[in-house]
Amino acid sequence: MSEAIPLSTNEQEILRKHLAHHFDTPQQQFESGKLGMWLFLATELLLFSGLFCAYAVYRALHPDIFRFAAQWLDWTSGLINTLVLLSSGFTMAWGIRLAQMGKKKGLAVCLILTMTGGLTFLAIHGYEYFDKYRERLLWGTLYNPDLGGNGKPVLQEASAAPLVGGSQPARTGDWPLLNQLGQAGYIVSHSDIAPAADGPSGIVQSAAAEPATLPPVQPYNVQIFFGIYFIMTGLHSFHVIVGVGLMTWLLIRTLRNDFGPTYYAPVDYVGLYWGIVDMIWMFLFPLLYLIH
Amino acid sequence: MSHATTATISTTEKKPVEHHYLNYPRTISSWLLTLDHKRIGIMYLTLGMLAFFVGGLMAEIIRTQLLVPKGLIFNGSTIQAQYTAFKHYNQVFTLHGIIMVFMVLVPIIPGAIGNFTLPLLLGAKDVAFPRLNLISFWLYVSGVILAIASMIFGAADTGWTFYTPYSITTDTYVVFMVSGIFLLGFSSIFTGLNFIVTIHKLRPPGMSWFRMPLFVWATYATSAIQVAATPVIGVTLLLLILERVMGIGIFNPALGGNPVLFQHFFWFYSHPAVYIMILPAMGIISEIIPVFSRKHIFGYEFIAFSSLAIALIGFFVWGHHLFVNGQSAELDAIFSFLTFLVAVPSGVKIFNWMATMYKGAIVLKTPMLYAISFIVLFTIGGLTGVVLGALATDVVLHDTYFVVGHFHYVMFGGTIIALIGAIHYWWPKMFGRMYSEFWGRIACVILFIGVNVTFYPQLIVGAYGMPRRYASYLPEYQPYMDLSTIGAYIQLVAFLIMAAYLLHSLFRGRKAPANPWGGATLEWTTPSPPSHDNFDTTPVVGDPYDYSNLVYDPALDGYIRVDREGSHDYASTIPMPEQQAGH
Amino acid sequence: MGLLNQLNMAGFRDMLGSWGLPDAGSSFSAEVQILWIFCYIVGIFFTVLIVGVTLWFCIRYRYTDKRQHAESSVNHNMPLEITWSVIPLIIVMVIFALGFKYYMDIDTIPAGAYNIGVSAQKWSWTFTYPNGAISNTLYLPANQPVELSMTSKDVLHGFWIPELSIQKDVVPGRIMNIWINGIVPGKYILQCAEYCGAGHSLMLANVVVESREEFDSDIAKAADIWTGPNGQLLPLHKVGEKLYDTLGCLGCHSVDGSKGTGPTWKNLAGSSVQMANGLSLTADYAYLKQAILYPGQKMVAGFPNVMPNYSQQLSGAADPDSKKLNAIIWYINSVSNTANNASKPPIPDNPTTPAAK
Repeated sequence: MSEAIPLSTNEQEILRKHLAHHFDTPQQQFESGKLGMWLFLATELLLFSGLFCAYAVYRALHPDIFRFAAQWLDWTSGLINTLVLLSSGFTMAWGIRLAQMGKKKGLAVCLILTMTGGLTFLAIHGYEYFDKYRERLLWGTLYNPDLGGNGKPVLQEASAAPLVGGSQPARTGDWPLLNQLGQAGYIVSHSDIAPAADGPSGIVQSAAAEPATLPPVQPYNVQIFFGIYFIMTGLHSFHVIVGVGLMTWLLIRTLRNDFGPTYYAPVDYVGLYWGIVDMIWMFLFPLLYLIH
Repeated sequence: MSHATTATISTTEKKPVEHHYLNYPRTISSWLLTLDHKRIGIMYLTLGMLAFFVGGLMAEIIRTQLLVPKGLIFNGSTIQAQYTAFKHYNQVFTLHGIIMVFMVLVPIIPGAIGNFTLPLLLGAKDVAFPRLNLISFWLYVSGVILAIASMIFGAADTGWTFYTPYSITTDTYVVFMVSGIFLLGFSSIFTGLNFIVTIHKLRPPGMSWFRMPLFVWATYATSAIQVAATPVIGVTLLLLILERVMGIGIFNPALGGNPVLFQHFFWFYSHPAVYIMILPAMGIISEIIPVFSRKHIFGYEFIAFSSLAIALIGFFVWGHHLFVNGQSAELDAIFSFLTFLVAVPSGVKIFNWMATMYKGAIVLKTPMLYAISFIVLFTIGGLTGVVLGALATDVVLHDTYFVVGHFHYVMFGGTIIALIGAIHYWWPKMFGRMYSEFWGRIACVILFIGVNVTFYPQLIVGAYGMPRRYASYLPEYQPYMDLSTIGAYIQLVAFLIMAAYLLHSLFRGRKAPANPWGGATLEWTTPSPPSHDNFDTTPVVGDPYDYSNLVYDPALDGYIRVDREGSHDYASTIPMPEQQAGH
Repeated sequence: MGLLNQLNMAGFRDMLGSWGLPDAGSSFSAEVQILWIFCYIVGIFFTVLIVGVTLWFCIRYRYTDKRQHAESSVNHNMPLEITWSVIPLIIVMVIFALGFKYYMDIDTIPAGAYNIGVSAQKWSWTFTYPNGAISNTLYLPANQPVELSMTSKDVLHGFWIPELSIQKDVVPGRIMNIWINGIVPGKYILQCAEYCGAGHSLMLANVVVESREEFDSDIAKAADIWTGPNGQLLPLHKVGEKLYDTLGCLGCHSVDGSKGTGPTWKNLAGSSVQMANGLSLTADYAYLKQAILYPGQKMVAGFPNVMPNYSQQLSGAADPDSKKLNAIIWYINSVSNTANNASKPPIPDNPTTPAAK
């Protein structure tokens, strides 16, 4: 298109300034950049695909863990985040359109809106993390929620762990015992959850009083779910942070009048990136939050 | 950017001094921050050779240790003293593996040879993203530095495979090492990405897909693997770091995790990585053999497509590393089947090279000697691989020295020999100097003997039952272990000779003509060494393997293209030394 | 020439006797060897073909003043290319099929096999027999399918007996099952094949394939840890020394004062121990007992929390009256000059009364 319309001297200036010596035409340069960006985004997808594989393997082997753990994820905040990201994706796309048309002010507004979307997403997600931290719904040995009351399910298997002297043996190295108890396949290590042996909210009593909607018994290794949850959402949030950083950079360049109808490639590339970040979330949300 | 403009001026300068990419500009920062693919290639080569030297030193230490059954260097009188000593041995072989795999075999052919030659072979001025290329190089440097830092603090003793849960529980600096490899992975991704875009978008007019030299095809397939497989090792290593730092538990059986999942993830990258190592090597051989046979490559399309086929099928064979770890027999069968499927195109390339030599006019110069060594060694490596791909025999050979021998035949006898061949083949182009042909041949023969003396006994002793990664061993294995060590010393001699004559040639070597071997690919139409912009005019593209109108000119000690009917006229584009001087 | 003296010519013959593989020792060794020899012949054939032809070309078609250009310009021949693709394909498919067929024999455990438990840990093997015997030597009855149920206490290990043509990784967190039918009686060596750390190359065990009668007598002997070679009852610290070996304590705890993965036992009993939480306490009987049964509960400063939990092997039905546990604690006391009454078990070391088995 740009070849057909005679360019203003200013536009020619922009083109010349941004053409690297080893390209013959701006078109070639733009296409190269775009192909490179697509390839890079493909590697991003593959990076996540490893985690999706881990998710799939564990979910296939231990569906009970996922059913049990997912009830602790707040699907409403997940949904709000989905909507926030979707609308920020929309503002980004609109921004690219405005950049093509050379409307700098509109582009700046769109970039600010997109950034706001990204930051809102991070804020809501950060609150979710904080919530999980408060409830000790964390990974590995840090998974230690209070299962004693509040309508939360309680644990029965805790008694399967050998208890001597009031405290739990450390997790490391304990699983061979269960192994020798004759459990085939994946050995389930006992939980580190406090046994809650005494008091009115002790194991057996409240187990009977459980609401029927929740799985009455906590499966082993729920911490695995939270490990996966934190890695996947954490890596995604990292990408959102990088995205917001890139928006800031674009905003500065926009205000510096760097972009015009002939040169807007960086806006286009960041738009593609943001699209992929949105898309990954569209997979993460149902896989993690909507397990029921 | 500024170099670009100054270098353009240099070609029009009227000074008698030749300006080429090596000597203009001369400042250190102009090297360290260069965007010129050739300089980046040379820097990769330098650092890669240093890494190879350190890795080789580790190999010599390993072989010396194994001279006696109880261990010559690391040993102890009590069992606890042995544990302490053997841990150091384990660190040494881990370093050997990590350096050789992640810092030499994977990055060096694309990074050094690919970077230097790819745009020249294509007829392009540079790679598509020169800045990304520089970032790639510095990521490589940072990765190497992190890994070396771990060496100082207490190198990982996990083996290069980082199998969990050992890598989670050991008290060595695994995180440092793994972060270094993480960075190397990004370097590899960016290089691959850069090459793919370059090959797609920067071909000059006339350079159709089927006029690309086969090394470009091989690099293309390699880059595709780098882009598609490396992210998976990235996320795997990230998870391993999180295991150690945060105890995330995905791979740790003590936390309910699955250590076998780690192996699947690891080999999902690391098996295709084997093809990252060997495909460009095959590409190099496909360049050298026709030039030194003075004959068109046989079955161009087959070789080109087989590279792609190998790259594709290579993604689905990773499970053959896990035959004895308890995956289901059905999976074992599928992986074994696919392994044999991918073996055929790799093997058949050998027949193509032999057919190229048939009725040629074979010049046994140093690069060709390396190409022939490659054929012999890769044949042995490939055929021993067949035994390992078969399920029943893998059960008795898995994790033995047979495997060690096999992959050294492929990786050393294949990739490293091809790399050395490539260095000798493009040396005149890289540095504008010729090396001593006599010493080149001597070193090649010594190295060939050394490789066989080192690795053939390993095949024998492995079949007899010696497991790998042993710091001490049963006395009946000793004769073979000793032979293998002698072989390693022979290799050392060959490498010392090589270093000596190559360094000598850098400073004292005869000036190289533009086309010393009579190659028909585009890089030989540029002066040796080329100018900053590679091609002063857009090159005219012909058949890369048509040698019919290249004739030897004793005055130049190189080949020139003569004008013949029905062929492109290159002669005017070859800058003769005299012409250049008076340009 | 020490090297030449080391050359064991009989060993050479052994190695080359069955085409480089060790002599067959188990029921499926023969199948593995058939496939191996087939691959060997194919390999030799192609190596000789490729190397021979390549070298011949180098000589026959070498560059001379007369031959400066190629004689032929043929660069494509479809039938030829298809032929040399299809023939190797057929050969490797045969190898694949044979490999898979024989592998299924190795992988399919026959019903009614005799069961032996294998436990791997850094860096020793222990074998548990149905009669309760625990030993560091693997006894196998000849001509009898034996199923091995293998577990690892810490990291990956590899169960590998070359002569019996069997190898399997021992993955922590799983029970790995394999089977062997040793048909040739003899002594073999089990080597750890999967890298497991500092003692990897020392993680060997003797394997004895023997007749059923010898086997029964050997495991009966191994089951009786309380009596010595002459039938006399052993003092408990001697029993503890055996257990130190068979339970794999020696992998981490030295008795000579040298530092291992775990604290040394020399002068441990009765001494003051610095804990990871900053407190220090005295290694009395109660502490030693807890440290063996539930090692993670009280961590000694400077040592990683890697010791497996021994409460299944040394309490409850596996160890009625805690006799084995007490034997180990007696052994710790016997290597400690610092031992005192508080660190000694409540039952006497010397067997004054007949030991209850």
